[in-house]
Amino acid sequence: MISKVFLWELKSGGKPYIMLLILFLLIYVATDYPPRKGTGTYYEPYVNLLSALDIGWSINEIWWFLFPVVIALAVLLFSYDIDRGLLRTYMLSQASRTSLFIGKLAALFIAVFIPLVVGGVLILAFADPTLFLSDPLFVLNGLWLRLVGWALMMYVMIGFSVFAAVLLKKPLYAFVTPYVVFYALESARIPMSIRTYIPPDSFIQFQFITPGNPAYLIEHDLLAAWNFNWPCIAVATALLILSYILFIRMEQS
Amino acid sequence: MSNNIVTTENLTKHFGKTIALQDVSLEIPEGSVYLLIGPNGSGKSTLLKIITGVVKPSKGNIQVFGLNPWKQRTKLFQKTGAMYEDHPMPGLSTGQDFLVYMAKLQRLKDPKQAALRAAQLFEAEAFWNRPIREYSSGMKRKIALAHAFMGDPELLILDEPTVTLDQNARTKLRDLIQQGLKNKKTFIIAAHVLAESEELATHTAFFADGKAQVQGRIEDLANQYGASRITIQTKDPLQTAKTLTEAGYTKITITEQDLELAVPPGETEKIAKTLQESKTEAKITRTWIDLWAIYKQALKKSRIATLG
Repeated sequence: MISKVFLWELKSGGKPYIMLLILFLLIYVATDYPPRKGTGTYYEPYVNLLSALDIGWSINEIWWFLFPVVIALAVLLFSYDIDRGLLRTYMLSQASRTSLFIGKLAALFIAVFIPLVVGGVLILAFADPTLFLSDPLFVLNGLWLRLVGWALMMYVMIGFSVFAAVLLKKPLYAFVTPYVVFYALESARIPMSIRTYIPPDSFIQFQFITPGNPAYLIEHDLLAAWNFNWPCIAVATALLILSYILFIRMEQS
Repeated sequence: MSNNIVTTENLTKHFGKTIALQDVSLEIPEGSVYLLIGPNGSGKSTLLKIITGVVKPSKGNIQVFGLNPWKQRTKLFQKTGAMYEDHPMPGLSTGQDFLVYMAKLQRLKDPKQAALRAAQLFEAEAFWNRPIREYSSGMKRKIALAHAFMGDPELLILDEPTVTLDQNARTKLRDLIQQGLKNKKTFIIAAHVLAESEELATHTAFFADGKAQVQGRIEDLANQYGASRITIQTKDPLQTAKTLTEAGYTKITITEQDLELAVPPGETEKIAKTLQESKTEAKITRTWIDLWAIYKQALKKSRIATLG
């Protein structure tokens, strides 16, 4: 049942278009066009062309770009005001509320994570000039660690977004509130020792992409990232559990 | 053993300070068409939402097939189909995709075939591959009805099923209900206006101000409130009316070629005999129950000022 809900939620309501849009925007935002200064000087052939697609991705950019996208999709999938009617119709079936919640959650994760990975890998494969001068397999260096990093980051985003979407009935409030909270935390004068536990700074260990240099990631980086991220992951988990409780008790009046 | 499909006891629902439903106790027997009737906002739809398990009652008990709908909704929908007045559907999807998806959620074998069969009941397969956002309200209603009838459920819950339906679809719905009754299926229909399918009702409850003001078997109510009617077709309405008046029947309404007569319980045959003997070529064409007459009298009795 979960897989049926997941597939429907993933493909219905224009979500494929949204996913394609995310993919396009990711590639557009992540590729540094026009190229940044200080990305290095290359004298080899093709470099001028390739540097136009040079990467300027950092964790900060991924976070602030993806977070509103995740919130928007979470609001589309979970907002009481937007989804109430459809949910009421789904209730006229043998689908349990748990299946609906998990199916929607999985659709939200996959709808953003796949474009993120595709975008990331495409960019790494085609935009890193070093790749074309050395071993193309460099692109796979530490890839799984990067995927784990992105997945953890998205998990935190989803925890906050889904909670806001389920708790705040007005879609606009649900959309704005989480973004404002993190933006305020980012802007506030918080001691560095605390700030490193708050996203996006807590994911700094995954800031691995340096133009002209293949990304090396080792397990040590993942462990370091985990040390700074477990509190926000724990909070996101608690929020997801709360969202689930609210969701299954919610009346479709 | 009781053969009631739905039983409610003192069912009450508050939405904040608003009382949507108050102390409603109903028994809906198997193989009946139970008509919930009343003005907008009288509590009918809230009751249907409680029966389908999407709203939790504030107080009281409810059992549908012996199950608690709020806690055991998925089991309940193994043998229940339902449609709402505003049956929400995803506008970007086609009616076909929606019905197939719903068939999958109903765990039906061969969901595509099940969806097609349901659509064919209301001739919805002619337009079901178009996006739902392009549908008229009548087309949406047909898809919603197909959703409710899909999988041949034992209990059908229909909220205002005939509103915006064309005549052909209304007749189809009436035929399906008639056929369902033969197969011991149970129908719960909410309506604020009466249409053909509602005339098949065997039981009724009239709602006003969140309460079931009057309820029971329609025949019993008709006897109690003097609401049995016959329609007489005649070439000479005035002469026929005179004959009936002389025979002691005074509650007569004359239309162009018809007479409507309020009939005391069990006197239909006596009237038929009177008409035969009068040689006015008048004949009884329809025997029916004036539900509004019941409701009006019930309301009068309970001193509720308006009917809605």
